[in-house]
Amino acid sequence: MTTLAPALSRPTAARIFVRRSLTHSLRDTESLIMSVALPAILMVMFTYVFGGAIDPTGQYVNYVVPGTILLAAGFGAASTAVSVSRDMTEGFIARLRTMSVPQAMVITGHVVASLARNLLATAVVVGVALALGFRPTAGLAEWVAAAGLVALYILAITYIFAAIGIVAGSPEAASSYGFFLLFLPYLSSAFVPVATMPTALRWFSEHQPITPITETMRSLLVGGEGQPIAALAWCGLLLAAGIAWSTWAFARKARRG
Amino acid sequence: MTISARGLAKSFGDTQVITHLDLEVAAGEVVALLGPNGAGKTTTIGILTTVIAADAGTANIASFDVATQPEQVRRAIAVTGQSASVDPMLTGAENLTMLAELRGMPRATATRVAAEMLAEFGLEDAANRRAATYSGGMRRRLDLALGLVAPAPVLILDEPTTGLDTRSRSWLWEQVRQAAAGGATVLVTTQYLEEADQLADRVVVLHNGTAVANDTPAALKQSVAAPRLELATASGRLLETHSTTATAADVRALLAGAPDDATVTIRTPTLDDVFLELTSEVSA
Repeated sequence: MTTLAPALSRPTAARIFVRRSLTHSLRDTESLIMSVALPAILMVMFTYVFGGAIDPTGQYVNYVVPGTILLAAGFGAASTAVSVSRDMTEGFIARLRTMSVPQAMVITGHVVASLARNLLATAVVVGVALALGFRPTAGLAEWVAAAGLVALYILAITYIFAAIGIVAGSPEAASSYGFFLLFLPYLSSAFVPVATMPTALRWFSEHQPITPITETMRSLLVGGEGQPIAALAWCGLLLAAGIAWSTWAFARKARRG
Repeated sequence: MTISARGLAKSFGDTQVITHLDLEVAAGEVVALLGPNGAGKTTTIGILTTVIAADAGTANIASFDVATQPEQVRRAIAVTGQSASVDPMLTGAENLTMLAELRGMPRATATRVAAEMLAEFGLEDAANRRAATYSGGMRRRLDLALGLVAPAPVLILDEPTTGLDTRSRSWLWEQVRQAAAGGATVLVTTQYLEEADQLADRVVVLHNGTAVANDTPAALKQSVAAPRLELATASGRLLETHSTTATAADVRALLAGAPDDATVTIRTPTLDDVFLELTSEVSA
């Protein structure tokens, strides 16, 4: 009677791969510093370099915090594409394909690590913003709602970057493909009101996901009118699309050739 | 048979990599799959390890069909590939603990087994260093340890000594011998004839996608040519040859006129001779 290795459950595999990805995040010091320092630098830059020109009253910091959080989340999540691509192309998945392991849980590991990294980066952005004069009016419920929305956005965009990492032919290509997503906050109400934009650009800005998410974050943190339904709908749609795309692409790549 | 393949065929586009392959490996046997680059060795391994789907034929590992029961096959095999696919961001100990957990061991057991494997594979001193800092030989040893971290009835090693120095190669052969002595069935692919000669109970020579020979190393050598008496100068230049069933008169004739420092040796065919003869015959 042949003794077989036990089949691994999905939760056990997920736990192992989450620990692996978190260890990667902590060990990759340069990326960790970038994912925490870059948002802080952006916060300072937007407040002091552009802030005076955009809003001479000195209140620009209150306007720009939500957009900077989303921009930082995008930068942080983008490294997921590179990490996933490394696993796909440098032998890790190839080894798992000969083992009785739910391989797709590798992606879960990367997503959870990205969520942890980017929530840390978000906390840094808020901390730096408070030091620069950011004065939120949010109560506990609004803070919790804002954190939930950011977490949902990070999850959604991370799954999309994970899918990019799966389909890209190399880590370098995975890094390049993410550029288009990282550009979206600049074409939204993240840094300037859409009313100041030319008509065509304004139409695009009003109908892309970053604007309603930014506006909802802004309304939660400093008051004003948000677009919570549109924000949640976009996050839900992006999350569903990211999960579906990454699941399909992973299954396609993992299929026997 | 622990490994059994019948009529395997596989093409990639217009290239027929495996034309028709039958292969059998009995329980506890070490079989070397020998062949030049492009002979179909890695594709065969891909099919047997459930990574590549065959176009035709059937294959079983430990009585499980690789096409219809891939999960059971994966639970029966331990595999090392041509490249050392270790996680460079994790230490040697972390790599092994993770793989042991993925093979179903509880964390505490996995940690203990990882420490044992590091000692066994001579990586104790580097246990807590990231694998990214390992030399090529150390990465290969860690890779093999990862493949063997949990006992499996079937070991499939795809060119495991590629890139290893002589000392590491001998060491690895010893590990394979120990695994076989422990009851494992081993299929190893190699381009190194010496490796097949040292390790294998049986050698299957693969050429142009099919098996052109399948026997013990000794029988294969005998099939190519009988041992010969060779007379050569001190510098190694061959002067004369004769069969080993020579009479005294034959030997006297052979030595007549030979320089005083000439050497007489019995030359036994090597697997190199077998390989060259078999692959050149098929190519011709």
